[in-house]
Amino acid sequence: MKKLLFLLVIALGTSSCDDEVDIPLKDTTPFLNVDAWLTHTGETQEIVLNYTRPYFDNGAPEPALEAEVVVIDIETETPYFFTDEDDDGTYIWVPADGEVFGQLGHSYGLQISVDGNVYQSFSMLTAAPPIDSITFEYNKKDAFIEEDYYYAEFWARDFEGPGNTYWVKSFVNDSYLGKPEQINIAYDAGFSAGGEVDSLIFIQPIRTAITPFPTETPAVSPFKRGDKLRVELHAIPIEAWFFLYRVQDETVRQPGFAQLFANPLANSPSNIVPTNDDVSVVGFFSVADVSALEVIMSDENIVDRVPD
Amino acid sequence: MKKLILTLLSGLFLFSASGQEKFTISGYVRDQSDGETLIGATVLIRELSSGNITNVYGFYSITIPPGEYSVEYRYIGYQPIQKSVSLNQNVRLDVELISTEQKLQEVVVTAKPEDENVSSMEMSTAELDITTIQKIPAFLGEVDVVKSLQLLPGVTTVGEGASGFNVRGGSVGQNLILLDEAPVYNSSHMFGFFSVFNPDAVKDVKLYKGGIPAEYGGRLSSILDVRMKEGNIKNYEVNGGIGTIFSRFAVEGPIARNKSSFILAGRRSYIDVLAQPFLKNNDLDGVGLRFYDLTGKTNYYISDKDRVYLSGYLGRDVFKFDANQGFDWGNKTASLRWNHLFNDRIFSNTTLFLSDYDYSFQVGETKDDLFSWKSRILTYNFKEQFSYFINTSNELSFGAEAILYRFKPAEVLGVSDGEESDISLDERKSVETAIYLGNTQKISDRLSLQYGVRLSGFQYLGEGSIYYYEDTEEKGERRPVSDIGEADNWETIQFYSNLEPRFSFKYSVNPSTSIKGSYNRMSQYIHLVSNTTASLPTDVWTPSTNNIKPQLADQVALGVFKNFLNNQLETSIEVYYKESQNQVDYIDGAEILINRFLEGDLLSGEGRAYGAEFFVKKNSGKINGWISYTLARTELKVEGINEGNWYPTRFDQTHNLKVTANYDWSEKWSLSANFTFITGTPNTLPSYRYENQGYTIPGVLGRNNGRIPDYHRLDLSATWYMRTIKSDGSPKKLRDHWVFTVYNVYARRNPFSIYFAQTDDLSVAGQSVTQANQVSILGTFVPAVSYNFKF
Repeated sequence: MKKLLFLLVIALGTSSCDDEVDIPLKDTTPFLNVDAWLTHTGETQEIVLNYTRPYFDNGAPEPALEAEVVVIDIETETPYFFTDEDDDGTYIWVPADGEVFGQLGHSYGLQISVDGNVYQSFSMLTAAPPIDSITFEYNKKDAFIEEDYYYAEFWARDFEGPGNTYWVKSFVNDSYLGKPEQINIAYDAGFSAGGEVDSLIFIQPIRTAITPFPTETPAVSPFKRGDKLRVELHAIPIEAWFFLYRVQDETVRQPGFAQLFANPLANSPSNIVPTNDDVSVVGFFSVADVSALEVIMSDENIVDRVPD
Repeated sequence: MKKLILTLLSGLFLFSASGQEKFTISGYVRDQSDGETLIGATVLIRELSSGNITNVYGFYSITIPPGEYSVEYRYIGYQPIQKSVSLNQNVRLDVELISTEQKLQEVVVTAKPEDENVSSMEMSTAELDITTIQKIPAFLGEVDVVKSLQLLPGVTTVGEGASGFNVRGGSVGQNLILLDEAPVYNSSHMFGFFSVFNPDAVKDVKLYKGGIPAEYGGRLSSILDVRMKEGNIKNYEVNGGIGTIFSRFAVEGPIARNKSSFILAGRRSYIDVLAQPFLKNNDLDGVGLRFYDLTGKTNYYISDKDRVYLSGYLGRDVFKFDANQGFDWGNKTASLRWNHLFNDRIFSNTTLFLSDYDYSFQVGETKDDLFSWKSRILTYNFKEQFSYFINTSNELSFGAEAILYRFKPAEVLGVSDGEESDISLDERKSVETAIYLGNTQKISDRLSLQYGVRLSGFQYLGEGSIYYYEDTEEKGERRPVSDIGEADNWETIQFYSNLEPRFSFKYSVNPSTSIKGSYNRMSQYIHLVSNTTASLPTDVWTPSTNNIKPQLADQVALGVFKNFLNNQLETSIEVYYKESQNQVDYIDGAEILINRFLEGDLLSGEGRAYGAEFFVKKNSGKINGWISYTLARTELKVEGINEGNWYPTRFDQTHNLKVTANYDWSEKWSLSANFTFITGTPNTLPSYRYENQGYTIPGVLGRNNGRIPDYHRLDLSATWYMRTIKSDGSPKKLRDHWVFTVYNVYARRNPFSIYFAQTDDLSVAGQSVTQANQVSILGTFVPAVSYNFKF
């Protein structure tokens, strides 16, 4: 919802100004960060462990080494051992040929032992609906884009029943749209809970957010004939949706006038639980089913905008 | 409770029963030139050295023993009048005072009795009359009621671009804003840059920060009572102005001479018109950022004893980026009032009003993909107020009020690829009622008391779903719904009631010094829900429910008031302490806009605010103006936020200094300046960072754990009065003047907030670069010119 307000404010431009400032911040001792987002695919699964650092520290994070990392299928009690062969804090599990990580409908437990502490977490693996198609909409040039242009839309339908949550990832010519403002998540077919838009085609802002919309004007068309676009629809647990929702809120801090709409900065909730209450930890553990579609933009998938 | 009322009543009988036969002098005090009634004019019986002041309708009543009296009527900026009265029966004496303000240059800081600061019962009030407001250098040269009030002690704002204002550490939603007694839910145009009150139609503005009389209630922090002009009953008059950002036009005049008059005032902004040539592309048709408002009032003297008023306001802001997309909001109010004199000593006012506040929001380029949201609050009110002027020592006020609220939080339609989904929320009805009784009593020449009690009640009514929530293990997380019930139409889901005692005293140490103190309890049954840095027009109002308890506040204040140099210099020092309960705050990540389960995202806590307010004002002379300084603190303690410890609110400002000065240079020129210094407001700053899925995520220790840099600003203005005399020496009918202003003269980039974000750059280590950015809503100085006329 607030996303929509942002759109408005950005579109209107601002008369305000931003200046980079130096501001002293309170420091804290480092603690463990867990980056564990696994997918129900045949790809190598990665869990990254490292430590938090001062907010303005732009150096590489300190890796957490010599950890024991295991993910267990709760139903079958199958363990998946993650190892860090090259001592860089990235623990991996490599599937055998034809093997896929996890089974739909099963729950997974994560256990990490490091620095004398134990951390645990759980996640459920649920199915993702298929992506029916991807189209490119033709638009006449406007105030923001100086030529006739195309934006992309993916077409898929939310599963029936409230509370299905998704993360849509977009790759344009193999480059991942990974900026915080490009986080594209859905609660059912809409933005958030409490105002359910259940079992519809994903609403337009979500459908079109797979496009790398230009942030500066004048700009060129985000897509040209021959461009490759891959869209992945990850069916993430509701807690993971909320985590990303919060990450987006905490990281996408719009400049200028949009600051009027900003919430106070707060922590993104972690689902990693230390067995010792005095230990702090951040990060997230999630398992997700993924459906994907990849297309090359051509006359086949270009459509005119639906007339009013 | 009963005991208290009994004591009050028995006290009253005592007063009225005592003494010999008495007669009453009563009537209205008006301005001779246009017939406007004068609020707060002094009526003094010289022989008794006692008297009264006129009420908000300009009425006074004094009951004294028979005899020969000389009655004096005084009001700053007017020539005093003395009348001789042989009092052997009740006397009706309507008086018209002649303004001395023929030269516009003479500044009147407040049009009130000279020693009101010291002599009046009131404390913790801020009052400005329109002449003063017009002198203050204003943003874009547009005089503004609410902005002017922010120059007085105890009144603050979060910054440019924030709607509303904060009083003694209260939030924006804790102010009751009344326009001719009808509530205005959003007092701002264009994100707080202007207020909704058209200065051409405003007669009197009074802000109660404490010591609030029993007749007012419903909000914790303050009551802003704005009274509209009635309209010139003698002659037609046109007022207007052409400014940089909008134009104003007002017409007033008699409908029937000395019987009935009207005023109609309108404003329309034209940034959108001016911006049109700068929009590069014709595709931006329909882009708009504009507002307009229309204020009207008429009144009719039915008889000596009866007068009716009808007033209305209509205002709208539109903020669109094309013809179909954008948002807009507006207030509509209408009030019908009837003043009736039962006899010379009992004055009554009956008010019926309707207030309609709505906003809507729409996005979507086609009919097949759109999202539209409308929200609305309808308020219907009936209010009956009585003033009983018992004798020179006692003035009793009592009355009752009933308000019906209809909240329509969201009428929402989402259309995706032609399929519709209606996600509207239930309408909510509630009724707020109150009865009150208060007395102003003069115990001796030195000691006066005002005391009273207000009994308020609130019913949260069906129909609609009733939600019940489970508690979470840790506070500060979203509470899940445990059960949903259904209520029938008009069924009471929840009832609350509160007893609100009010008390204040004034002790005159000597004629130029007094000490005043007050205690009041306030309750608030409707809540403004907003978790953004600034208050916004899209903020949601919600009633108290089975899950949201009414807010309560207790405030004590003590002040010393002293005037010097024959009342030319007024000073005051006030200290206050306020405690509040059931303050609303939010879980991190609360979804407050369209959410049936909003109550599960709300947290409840306690608040405390305390401070000292210093005020020095020079009332007359070539150089006049005031200095206002507030030292304050305001904090909240909410389980689930900041580990349950006290934290300062977003509008906590330790030091708040305002200096306003006018210099009347010549007949033609007058110069004004104001300077503001405010301690930087609290902000939540991060401590650490970590990466997850490529995003650099900030980590926070506590809420509002740092502050943004201090705010300071100087504004200047010059007013150039045109000739008032024709070349042949006869007076000109047209009075006009130009106002030149520069806002933020030294172009300071005052911070509104500081935000932290990762940039698009990568560091040598391959990590995203984080930085802090300071946002200034106004980055430079803003010059403006406006032309104002009256004929």
